[in-house]
Order: sequence, then structure tokens, then C-alpha cells
Amino acid sequence: MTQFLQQLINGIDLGAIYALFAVGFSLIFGVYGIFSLAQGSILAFGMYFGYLAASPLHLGFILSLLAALIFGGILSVVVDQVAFRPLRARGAPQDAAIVTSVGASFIIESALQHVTDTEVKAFPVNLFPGTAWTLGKVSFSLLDIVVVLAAIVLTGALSLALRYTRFGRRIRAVSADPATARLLGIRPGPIYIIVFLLCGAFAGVSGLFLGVTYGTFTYNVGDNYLLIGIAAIVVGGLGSIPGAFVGGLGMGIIQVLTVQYVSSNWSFAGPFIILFLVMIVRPAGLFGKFNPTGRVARA
Amino acid sequence: VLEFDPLVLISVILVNVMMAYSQSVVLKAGVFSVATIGLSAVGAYLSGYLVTIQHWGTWPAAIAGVLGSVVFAGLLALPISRLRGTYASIASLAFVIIVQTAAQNLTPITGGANGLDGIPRLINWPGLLVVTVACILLLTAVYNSRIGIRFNMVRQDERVAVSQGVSVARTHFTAFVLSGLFAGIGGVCFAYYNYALFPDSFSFTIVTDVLAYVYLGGFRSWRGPLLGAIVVTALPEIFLPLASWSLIIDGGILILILSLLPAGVLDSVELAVRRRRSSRSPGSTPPGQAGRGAGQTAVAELTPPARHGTAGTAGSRRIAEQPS
Repeated sequence: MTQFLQQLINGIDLGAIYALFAVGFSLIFGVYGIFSLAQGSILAFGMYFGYLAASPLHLGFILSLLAALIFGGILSVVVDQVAFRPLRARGAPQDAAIVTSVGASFIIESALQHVTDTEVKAFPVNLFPGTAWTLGKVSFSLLDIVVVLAAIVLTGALSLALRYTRFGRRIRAVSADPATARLLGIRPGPIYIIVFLLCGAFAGVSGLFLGVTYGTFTYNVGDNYLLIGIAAIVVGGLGSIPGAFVGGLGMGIIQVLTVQYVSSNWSFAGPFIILFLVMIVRPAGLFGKFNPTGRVARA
Repeated sequence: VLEFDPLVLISVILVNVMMAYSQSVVLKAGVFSVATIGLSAVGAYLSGYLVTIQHWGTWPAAIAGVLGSVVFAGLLALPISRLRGTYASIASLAFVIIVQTAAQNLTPITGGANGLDGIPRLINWPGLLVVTVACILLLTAVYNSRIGIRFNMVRQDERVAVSQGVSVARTHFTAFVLSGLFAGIGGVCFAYYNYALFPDSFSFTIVTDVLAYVYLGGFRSWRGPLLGAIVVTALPEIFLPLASWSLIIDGGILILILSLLPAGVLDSVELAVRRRRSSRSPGSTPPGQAGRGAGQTAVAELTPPARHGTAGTAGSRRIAEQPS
């Protein structure tokens, strides 16, 4: 039982990081219907800049976090301008964005491979204080608490901002119909930039937390998290922010429990079997609204 | 450092061409499924397992492998045919990941991470060439038949297709079975050529490679996937100094093609030529009309609705046009 509780806490910790990643991922789909497979490499990119700030520059945790957040955000905007903007101009089908985002992730990963020389990079051990408490036989660290709080606060702030602020209303207007939004005096261009900045920042933050939690990373670290992120947002419901949060949390818990009680080799199978079943039984996921366009009466 | 052997390169290209055909068939029928690599893994492992561990003959094992892929493709068609666009791609990607994980863990059958080795080399480049040509003949026969016309209709506008009495679900099923057939043939050839099978040969990276073949060339005929597979496979091999940059080049190609020539290099050229011809003869067929060759229906495709006013409302969902 103690072991189970301990694993549950580890799962929630990992799940909170996944949730941060998944929320940004889902926001892009919810707002623009773009399923960006570059999101994993943006996470890795943010992680790399966090590492640069932490290790060679010794800037401390807060500044590393900021570096990851800012560079993740900037890269995300660049990816949008290079890979998605031409497609928007053309009104291309969704599939096209999946393919160009794969192209973007190839480029980013390859660039990371060159700057890291394919070496394993390590975050400094003392970047974050190792304070930990024990409750009964279950232990949890300060990092666990910070991660979970960060996930709750950032996700909550984003949901509230989307719903209640002027800026949130603009985003929703553009997402509902860019042409009408334009008629109402909202320029879609800056809105796209802000949304992609936000998505990238979420990916960057989760990248830094993963880096601090696991200590080391390689250039292709984003691939695995991309797959987990996909599973999380689909199970939660594509485009739903609360869904992404719950999905991310769930994936973290399932993965940790699978490693503990089944085998570490199956850690990816669990999330994806669930994903596949959800796609068949309820494509909308837990919280999403399924919007199957192109779906017409069958002969 | 491996020595450059043109015959090895040709063999690798030929196997990749079969994968490209498998991927292109479903795209041709309007399903964005990326299951190809998972299906070919089924065929490769099944034939490899039967040959090495069960000591089956070359041909029975090959046929069993191809059948395995086809059966999986048919089963997969049932759920995925209900999904569209992004949803179909995610469900099929999940299938690929599950197959890869199974390949890693079902050690008695697949050898796990150590791989399934000891497969004799049962095919070489002449054999692969014959198989590839057979695939091309089959593909053109299908594309020139009623099935090919149905594929075009369903891809271009499902509503029109349904109104003409075409069953979308059945058309998708046919496309999946064909995709499974090509993937199975490619997978068995892969197993019989490579001595050993490893789970990494069927990973997410390979999925994206196959997409690159098809999107580079275009998926409307047998020529596009062929060209794409040749270019993307051969480029880093021929320009060895470029090898470490090959992913950047692949990525750049994907973005440029989708931005500038959405139909792929070859298809864009062919469509432009056809459009010029048809513009000389007034009164050409309206888009999506059945009963004409693939050439004329394809003409309508190069004129996306976005260029002539508001973005398209019918048919598949467009980016940034989605009600939240």
C-alpha cells in the first residue's frame, strides 16, 4: 500500500508536467484546428535553453525557467510563421499542417543534435533545492509541490483568461471565425502570435521541469513526450483545456504504475492502448466536443 | 563506415517504394491514416517468425505475412473509417505505436529489442524489382478501374460521392485492404532482404519518412510515390557530406512542398499540364463528376476554393476555420 501511494505521488508529479505540456498542445488545436507534431521538439528546445542558462551560465532556477519559457514561446511563433501561415493563407486541409509540423520538428531536432553533439546533457544537481518531507512512509519533495502548483496555477490562469478577459474573447472570436473577427475589428495576425507564444511557453516550462526532475536529456527527448502528449490530449478531448489537464495527469499516473507493476518496456503501450480505445468508442475524449467535419450521410 | 553500394541503395529504395504505395493508397481515398509502417511490421515479423522459428517454406511464410497485414488493415479500416482528418491520423498512429511496443516485448515471437535474426536473404534486387513492378501494375489497374474513380470522388467531396451512390465506408475499406497488401508485400520483402528485424525499423521516425516520400512526389498516381521514395532515400546516400543534415533537408522539403506545391512536385506539374490542355477545350467536366478519367477530375483540385473567395465550407475541415 505504501509503495502504491508512493508511486501514485510520483505519477501525479510526472502527470502534472505532462499536463502543462498537454495544455499548450491542446490550445493550438482548440483555437486553430492545427495538430502540431512540432510541439515535442519545442519542449526539447525550451529544455535546452533552460539547460544553457542553468549549467554554463549558472543563472539559477528562476532564470532557467524564464529562459525555457521565453525560448519555447519564440520558437513556437517561428514554427507558426514558417510552417502554418502559408497553409492558412491557402485554406489547406488539416492534414497538411500535420505534415509541415513534422518537417519543422525534423529541423529543430536536427539543429539540437548539432548544437549538443549528440551528447547527453546534465542539469546541475543543485539547481533546485532537494528539500523533501516524509509523511508516514511516503516521501515527497519541494519540487513535486512546485510542479503540481505550477500546473494548477498556469492551467487555471489560462482557462480563466480565455473565458473572462478581453484578450481571451478575441482569441475565441478568431478561433470561431477569422473572417467575422476581422469585420469586428480584430486583426487575427497578432492573436496567432500570442496564442503560439503561450503554447510554446507551456511546452518550454514543462521541458525545464522534466529536465530538473530527470537530470539529463538528449536532443531527441521531445519524441517520447510528444507521443505522451498526443495520448493525453486525445483522451482528454482534443481542444479542451481541462481535458488536457486531466489527460496529462492520468497519463503520468498510468505510466508510473505500468512501470511499477507491469514492465518498463510497456510504459508506452498503456497510454496508447487507452488512446486507441478512446478513438474508437468516444473520439471526442472525456471533455471534448467531437467535430467530425467531412462526415456525411453514408450510402 | 559502410561502403557505398548502389545495389544496396536500389534494394532499399525498392522496399521504400512499396511502403510509399501503401501510404499513398489511403491518402488517395481521402483517409489520413499513417498505419502503413505498423501494417508492414505485422507482415515482416510474421513472415520472419514463420521462416526462422517455425521453419516454414519461403513462399508459404511470405503469403502468410502478406495475409496478416491485409487482415490487420481490414480490421483497422472499421474504426478508422469512422474518423476524419486529424482523428484518423491519431488513431492510426496509436496502432503503429502499439505494434512497435508489441514488437519490443513479445520476445518469443519477435526477439524483442535484440531483434529477430537468422532470417536468410531470400530476395535480392532483381526480385525486389519484379515485385515493385508488379505493385505498380496492380496500382495502375486499380486506379484506372471504377475503384480508382471512387477513391477520387470520396477524397474530393464525400457528399458528392454519396449522392452518386458511392459507399464511403466500403471505399475506405477497399483502400485499407490495398494499403495492407502493399505494406505486407513491402514488409515481407524487408524481412527477406535484411537478415534481421528490429523494432526501431517500424518506429515513429519511419512513419514520417514514408509521409515525406508521398508528399514530395504526390499521391495521385503511381509516379509520385516512386519519385518521392527515390529522392528522399537516395539524397543523403549520394551526398554523404549532407548525411548529418538530412533531417533538416527532409524537414525543409516537407514545409516547402506543402506551402508551395501542395499536390507534390510531380502531381503539381502533371496537373498544371492537364489544366493548360483542358483550358484550350471549353466545356470541361465539372469537378467530382464520375465517369471520366482521373485526369479530368484532378483538374478541379488545383483550384482551391480559398483563392476564389472565402475558404471552402464543404468537405474536409480547413485550418483556422473550426468552430470552437
